[in-house]
Amino acid sequence: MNKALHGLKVVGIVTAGAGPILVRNLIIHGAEAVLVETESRPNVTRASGPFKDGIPGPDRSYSFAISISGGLSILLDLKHPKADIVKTRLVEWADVIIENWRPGVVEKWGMGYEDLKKIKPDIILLSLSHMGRGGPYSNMAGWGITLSALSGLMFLTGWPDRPPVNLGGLGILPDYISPRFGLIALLAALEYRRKTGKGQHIDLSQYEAAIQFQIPAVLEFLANGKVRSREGNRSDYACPHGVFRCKGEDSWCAISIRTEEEWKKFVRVMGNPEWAKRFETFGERKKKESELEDLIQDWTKNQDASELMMKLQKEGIRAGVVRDLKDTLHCPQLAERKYWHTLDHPVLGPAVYQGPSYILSKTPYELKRPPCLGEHTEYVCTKLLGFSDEEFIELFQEGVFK
Amino acid sequence: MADKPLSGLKAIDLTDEKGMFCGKILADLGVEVIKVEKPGGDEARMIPPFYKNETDKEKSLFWLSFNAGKKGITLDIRTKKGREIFKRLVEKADFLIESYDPGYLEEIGLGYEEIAKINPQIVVVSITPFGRHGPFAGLKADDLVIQALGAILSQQGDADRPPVRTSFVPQAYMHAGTDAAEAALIAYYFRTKSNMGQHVDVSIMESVLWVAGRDLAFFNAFGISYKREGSLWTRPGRGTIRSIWECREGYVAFAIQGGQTGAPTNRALVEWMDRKGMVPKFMKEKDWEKWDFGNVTQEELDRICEAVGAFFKTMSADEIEQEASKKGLLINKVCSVKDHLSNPQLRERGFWKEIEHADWEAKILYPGGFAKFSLTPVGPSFRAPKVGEHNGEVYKTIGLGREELDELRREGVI
Repeated sequence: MNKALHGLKVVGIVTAGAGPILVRNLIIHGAEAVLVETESRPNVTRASGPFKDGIPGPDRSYSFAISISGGLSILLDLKHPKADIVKTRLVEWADVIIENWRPGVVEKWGMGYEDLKKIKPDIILLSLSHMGRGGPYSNMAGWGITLSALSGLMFLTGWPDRPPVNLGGLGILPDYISPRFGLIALLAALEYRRKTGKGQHIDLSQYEAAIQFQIPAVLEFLANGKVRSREGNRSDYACPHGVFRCKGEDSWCAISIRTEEEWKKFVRVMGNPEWAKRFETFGERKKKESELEDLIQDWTKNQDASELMMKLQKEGIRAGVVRDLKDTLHCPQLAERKYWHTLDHPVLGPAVYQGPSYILSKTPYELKRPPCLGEHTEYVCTKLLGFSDEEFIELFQEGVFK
Repeated sequence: MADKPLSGLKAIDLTDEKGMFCGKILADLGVEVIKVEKPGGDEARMIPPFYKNETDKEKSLFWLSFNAGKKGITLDIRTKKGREIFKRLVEKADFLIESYDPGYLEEIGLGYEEIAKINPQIVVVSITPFGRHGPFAGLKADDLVIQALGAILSQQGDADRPPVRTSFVPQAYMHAGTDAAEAALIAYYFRTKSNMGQHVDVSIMESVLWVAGRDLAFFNAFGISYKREGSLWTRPGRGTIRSIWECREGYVAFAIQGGQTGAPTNRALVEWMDRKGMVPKFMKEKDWEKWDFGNVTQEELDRICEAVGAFFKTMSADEIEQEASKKGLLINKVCSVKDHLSNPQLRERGFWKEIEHADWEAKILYPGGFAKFSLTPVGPSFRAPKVGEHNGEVYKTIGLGREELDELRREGVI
């Protein structure tokens, strides 16, 4: 069967975090992607642990492995005086180029938008950076943790009486926001090119992308002057709305009640306790929410979380156990959707990988193992870029492919 | 004004709060998105907060946030007539986005198979908590419950308290909304090559799990799952450090890093602490290039964190961030929405977009486009529609005149 992005040609000059993740989702739907790396500066994620057997090495990083799927890794010293011919062929070959270095870096390598346009006028370049191009903080450095703080999402996460806490995704959650917007932007630019013949430069700020996840907080501040902060698990329109302790170590069940009807059902499941009469309306529940939460927890704390979840679900009440990543590996729902994949790798051996969050009815996706550093240099040069074996060897001897 | 990148495409949006963000993103890109509400308006119009705290279906800031740039019509698709009209709308659409319980649209005769008969090229996007099929398909869930089952909750919160979600804006729906828009455009790309539409089945839980899956690196290496630890930061085999710090006022995020990556920040931080006479001798003498998590004890990490913590407590988060950004240190204030509005970078880049709300005699700043395109503007162009605001305009395009509309209104179809 066909893959959705079959025929789309991508060059990724990508470094840490968001860059590879963006390319990954293009590849698994059929795009052909060349990842340009250099020996002295391989993709930064290759240098991030954990490593196979604890030994660092560009092909030993599990963090890199899960950030990419398939892709053709070539070694190319972009600063080498004889690299121009390879760069030119790469750009001519590509539909889109993706880079996530600090603003100014790819320009130094002669791979800025103006350079690319000279080679291929309708090229589409996506530049993904921390703060976006132009402006006083354009060059501000950062990474997942600092971006989480800047994004505003960390400020909203935690308890009102405690400091904010790290965001999910091991603290680098915004690295999972911008790649999605980047991919959306690229596909939109491709459609615009299809209609008009024009390429363009997309300048995506990870900061601005993360603010898209908090639009109501912006409007509330501007319209009502309220600065939202940490509210634990509470909600303005559901009560109870919390995570309650269950039997066993660190075992929890999330419960969310919105309507009066749901509340009545919930009270019935609890066995109509006497105290419930004091909490009949949403207003009463909200007013005495701490007390209510304690009473509910008295009921949940000696129950098995999964049994409790199913008991509540049977009555149509929203409930779900808190699962960690390991728990989800055995989830029957995810098994049904064939979400998890085990792939082999020459260095890492077999490891578990995720599929995308959606299934396309006519175009299946395919996961492939991550590429080793420079694994495809010769293939890309001779098969995709049209260099003869002699030309390749000559460039190789000049030290271009390092 | 120049065309947006996707000007000329049309989408029908049947979503509730779980899926509204997808259509918002497409509208930002220039797709003409028609939000279809039941007569009287979406239930999600009653989600707080409200403009000036006045409870009113035209004033939900939540609803307005995710429907800006869309047109709005009312239509009761549960009625036979309503479905006929709906099918005529669908004939001309490129996308249909919906977030009903799995099976509902099939039940009323508007499932993908029916829709594809009318318009084989259409991309139908279904956004549901767990996907359209499988043992969880019938479960009831919202943002909190999906985040619980999708493992992200287990990674957030203090160790001595329940796992905790990000407050106020339902993040599961944000992750899924972007995934849905991404999937819709992937399917659309395929259509431009093949003339074939298809059905996109988005699982909100998987959208959340995609993020939590960062932990797979550690699972694959060590066979264990990450456990929430509040504002601390542990990597198996590498010790625990602090990543969020209390200041004299506010908080900053800073996670010490080793080797070449961390050295410039660590050196500059030590110099800065030294100027205030707050640096312990062992930190001053350290060769930060050679310092790494591989060769450090937990005791040393604790001593470093203690000294840095005491130093940060002497200043406000604003002061620290200002100085840090001058020195190029990887330290950031934990920012609130108020900080976004005063951020000079966002201002200078023209990020904020003023949208007129004539009824309130107000202009309100909205977050602008999620990216800057060199040729085509992106971002919200106008406020979200009032209930049925574009009935006349939209129904005219399928040949319904005023008299017919009046009749449909009397019958409660629109």
